[in-house]
Amino acid sequence: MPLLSVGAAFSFLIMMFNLPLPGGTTGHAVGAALIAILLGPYAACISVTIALVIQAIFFGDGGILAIGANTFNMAFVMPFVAYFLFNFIKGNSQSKKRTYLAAFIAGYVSLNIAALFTAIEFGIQPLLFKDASGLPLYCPYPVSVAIPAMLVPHMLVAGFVEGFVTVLVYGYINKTSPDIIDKGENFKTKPLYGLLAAMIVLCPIGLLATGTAWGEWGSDEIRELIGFIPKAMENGFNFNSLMPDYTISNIPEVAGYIISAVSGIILIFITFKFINSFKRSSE
Amino acid sequence: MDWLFKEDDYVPVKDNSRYLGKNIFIFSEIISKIINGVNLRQSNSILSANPLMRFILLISTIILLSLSTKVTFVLLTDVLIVFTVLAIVKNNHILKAAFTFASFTLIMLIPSILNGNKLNAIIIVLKVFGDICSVSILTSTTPWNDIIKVLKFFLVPDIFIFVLENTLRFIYLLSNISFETLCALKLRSIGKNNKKYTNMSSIIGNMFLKSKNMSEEMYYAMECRGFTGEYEIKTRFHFSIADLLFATLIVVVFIFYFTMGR
Repeated sequence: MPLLSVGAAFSFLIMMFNLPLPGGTTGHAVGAALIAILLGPYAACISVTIALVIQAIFFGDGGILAIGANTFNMAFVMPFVAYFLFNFIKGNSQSKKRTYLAAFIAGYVSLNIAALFTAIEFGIQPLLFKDASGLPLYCPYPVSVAIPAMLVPHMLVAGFVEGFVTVLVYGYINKTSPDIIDKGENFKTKPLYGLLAAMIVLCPIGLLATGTAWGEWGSDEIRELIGFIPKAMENGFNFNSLMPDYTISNIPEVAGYIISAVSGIILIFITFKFINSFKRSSE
Repeated sequence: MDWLFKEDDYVPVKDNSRYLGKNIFIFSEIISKIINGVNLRQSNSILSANPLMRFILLISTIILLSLSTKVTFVLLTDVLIVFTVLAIVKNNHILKAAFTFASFTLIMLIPSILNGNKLNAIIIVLKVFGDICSVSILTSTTPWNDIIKVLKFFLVPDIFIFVLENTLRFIYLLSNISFETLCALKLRSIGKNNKKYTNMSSIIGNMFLKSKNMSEEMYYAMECRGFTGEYEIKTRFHFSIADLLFATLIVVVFIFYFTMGR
């Protein structure tokens, strides 16, 4: 348990470390991949969630209602993708090169997948919320704009920062005290962590999904997400403003179909979860 | 001995180490924020209201702000919030920070505005401004332990409160360590540093190892003292005039929303 608070403090501070980028600018890593590899994905999930909560409530960086979307992307998607990718590439080999390559790829890919999720969340906003004249109420950029806007800077810059931090810190800890790194053993013996992680992550999504039923889905978190972005994903921002010649209303029908399917699945999943928890509390 | 009297003509190669200064600044900022956040004194009688009421006011303001699609409601709430900042909290940093965030949002929305989506974009910018102000009002007027107390009221599980509380402590301790290490690195950095990434990741790695030791020590110390992981609230709820004021504000915000916000 105390390890969780340390993990949370650690992931909060990683986000604060500025790393030099070419051209004299600086950028920072999210660190979720690193923590997932070091402490396991469940601990990483809780740690990053708490780091984000503290950032939002106590430091005022990032929205309170956006915590749901933020934790889903950065505390749930990212560590799990990173952890499984790392183990998949590393396999059973003891080769150092392969391990380090696995760490780099885990950092790089997991950040980009998290960015992709964020982009999709942005992109479905104009589909879901329109005023009487059909103009988008919240985030006005459709999927076709949001995805390249988020992914290009992440693939070109932020992903590399994340990858390098992951592999270098992992290498340092592997060299100085290799026994500390999570071997995946305590992973099965502590299902509590998993349950807790699921609860923490599902709570905010539940909020979000019940909103769908009322046709208000994501209204809170997207506006908050916008407030959050300057801190976390500045690149995505500038890129967006550099693209004035797009069309708002040209969303392919297929995309809309897929998105409603996905939100439907989430809704069903949440409903079941909700019924279960209701049953449990009444017992 | 001759070398001692010779003039040295060592000119260090210039290097861009802005990131170091920036990091040092950020960590000192975190440390000071935590110290201020925990030690907040309530000088104003209005601000001595129960943290729970303030929290409810904050959450309802944010939710209603985000639900509303009417510019009048959003604008009015923003004006009220700015008035609160100027009259009660008296902290100009809040307005500055909110203004920065709002401008970023505006920049991001420029393409959309050019496409004719003017009013909605303005509403979003106003909402961002209002939200950031209201969150900052809470954090800058409420001691952080009080905010954690509020979480207990909302039936947040103890394990979450425990981790949250200790995370704040660890952030403070680890920030101090990183601050000192970064200062040490800065003092020793002369000329061009070609291993910036290795340096930074070593600091991060070291921080991790230290924090791991600290957590184990703390865990044993707490077990020795019989901590069971349960939190209890010992203070009772006293309903004061300040609380009444906040309760009225909550009602007013709701009335505003239902009369002109929807």
